[in-house]
Amino acid sequence: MTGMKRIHPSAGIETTFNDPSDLEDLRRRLDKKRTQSEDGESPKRGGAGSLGLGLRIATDLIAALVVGVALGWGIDWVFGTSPVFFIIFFFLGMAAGVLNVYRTGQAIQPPSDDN
Amino acid sequence: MASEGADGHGSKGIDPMHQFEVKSLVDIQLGPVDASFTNASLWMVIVVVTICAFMLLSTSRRALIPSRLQSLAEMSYEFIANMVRDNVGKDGMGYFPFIFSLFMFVLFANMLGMIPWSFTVTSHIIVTFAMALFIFIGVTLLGFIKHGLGFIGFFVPSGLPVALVPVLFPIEVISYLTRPISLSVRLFANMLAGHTMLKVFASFVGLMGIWGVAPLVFMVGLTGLEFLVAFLQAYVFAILTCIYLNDALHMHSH
Repeated sequence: MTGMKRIHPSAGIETTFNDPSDLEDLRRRLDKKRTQSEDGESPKRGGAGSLGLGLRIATDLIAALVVGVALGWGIDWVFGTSPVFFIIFFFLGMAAGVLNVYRTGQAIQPPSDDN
Repeated sequence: MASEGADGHGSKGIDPMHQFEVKSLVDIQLGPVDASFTNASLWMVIVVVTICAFMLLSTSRRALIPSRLQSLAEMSYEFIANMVRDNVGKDGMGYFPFIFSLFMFVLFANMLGMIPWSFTVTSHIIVTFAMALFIFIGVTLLGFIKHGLGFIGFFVPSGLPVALVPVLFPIEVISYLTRPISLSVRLFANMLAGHTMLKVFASFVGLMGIWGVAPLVFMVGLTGLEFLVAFLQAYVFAILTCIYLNDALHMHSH
């Protein structure tokens, strides 16, 4: 019952002024809760993301290839050098895709170390 | 089997893609541009109105001890404020309004899309790609404004032998140009796949008669998962924007 009263605004202010240690205690409990909730964030992200992670790596890989091919195609179209730049940028796009996947892999390394 | 079912049931067959159809509500023709007010436009308006109503209502009666609504608004504020602070740093807080609006828009679009018979705006690549392209162009311009031509150095990894620069520079540039595509495709594909899957399994419930209980139970779990995905994708969209912003502001070379 006293807990209920404390939540009530007017009563809450009264107890705060009478008892500063209460506020200190509340702060400590809040900080604890806050760090707990922050800790709880990362495993959830990793756990639900298996499908998402696969999709992410696939899009990173394909998107780089698409961008590379589009760039090469564009340069060829502008300079009329088909298919020189198309071929060069096809391979560059593939390399960029692998680079993307490598970076994604690096980014997700820390959580897997914890588990 | 699938084609048989579609033929047998005619228009009442399983059509999981029907929910993504864009229909014109009010025809508007601006010269050669078809600027009709569609159901997608309507739902974008609904999303923005809902966000405004939520933020205005929750902050209209501010109290030291927050009501549930106020505490929700404060939570979303702190969530994004912490995200920006952690990923971009103190000087990134100037971009907080943008990140917050972006997160709220994607989150509400995803969440309102979970209401039956509603329309999921973010399940359309053009919507997500427009947002991603805006972010990409904005962030790139910001990089050049902050660092001048020195921003080009972002594409040259540190400690690289000069001979390798002509090879690695285009690779880095292509990798950078991938960002708007992967950012938009990620959100769009998740929403599209999730909603299609929900629809397909939901149609099994009716088709299987009494055994439809099994997919029905599955649907309950799947709906929960879909809510998680809706939140997660909004979170991912916002955090990636933060990371891109951080790259532009502080130019962390890979």
